[in-house]
Amino acid sequence: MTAIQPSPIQELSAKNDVEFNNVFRDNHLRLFHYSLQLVGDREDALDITQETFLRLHRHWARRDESRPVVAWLYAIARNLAIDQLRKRGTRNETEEDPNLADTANRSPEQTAADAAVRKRLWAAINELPTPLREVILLKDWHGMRYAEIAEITGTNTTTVTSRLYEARQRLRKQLRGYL
Amino acid sequence: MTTKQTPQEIELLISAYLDGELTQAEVQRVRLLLEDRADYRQVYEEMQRLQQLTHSLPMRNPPDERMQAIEQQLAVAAPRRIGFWALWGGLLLWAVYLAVLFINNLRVPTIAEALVGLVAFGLVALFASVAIQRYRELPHDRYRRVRK
Repeated sequence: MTAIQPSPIQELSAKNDVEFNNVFRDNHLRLFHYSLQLVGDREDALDITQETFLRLHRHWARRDESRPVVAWLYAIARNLAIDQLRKRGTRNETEEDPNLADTANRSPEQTAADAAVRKRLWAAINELPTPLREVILLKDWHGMRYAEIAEITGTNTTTVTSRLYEARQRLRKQLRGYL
Repeated sequence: MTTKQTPQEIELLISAYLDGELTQAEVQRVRLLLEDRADYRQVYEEMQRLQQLTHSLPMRNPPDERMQAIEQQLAVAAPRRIGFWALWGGLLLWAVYLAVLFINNLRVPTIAEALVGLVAFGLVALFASVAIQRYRELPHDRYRRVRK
């Protein structure tokens, strides 16, 4: 019985394809949401998501495996979003649909109250300056660690710590009476 | 941490404590402060509620068909890249062929010679790109050629 082993290139190519597909499957929705939070327009967010994965795919075989892929992915999307915003000159408000919220085990009154708070919170987040808005969403919505946020935003963890604090202070002020 | 800290510095620590980003010594300090001071406890609880609310903000998903289209585009991106390199490789070979003709004969190649070279190297480039693509698409099954 003779077995012909696949060549190293073949094995590497197959491994790369599987890993890339996993990254796409695990991150495409959150990347779309991140892009939408940055540019506030669904079509632009879809274009950014598509272009981000195309760029990632282009450099996938030559990637630095010691660098976290998710942070790299978000950093590409962020750069594309900044370019898009520069071209457009304005940023739309990120849309929010209170009807999408989980209303299980909630009374109609509680559901209505939650929707009102969320609406107010979205408005307050949208009023934040971009550097503060992006750190609060990366931390509290996407659940990133400080080191990942620093990598994505091209800053350091000290800056992330102070921006998060500043963002939270402003949001607490805006939502006084609701928290 | 022996120096006196301002309320802003302590609130900044509380914010980082909420995120689990403090050192063990800082965690101990914040825990003591939260036990002792109702005003800092209130700050912590408000930040915590804010974090929960932000985390639960709903966002619409993109249409499935658009995401599938992106996935398909990624699947064809690799063959397109091979075609791009094959095109440039073929053109480079053609240019080298024309240069060799020029050096050997000490005259500008005729249109017929240039066209023959173009067609020949075009076919080579096409064959190479198809061969590379077929090679990449081979099933990556370790046992596919095992004799029964």
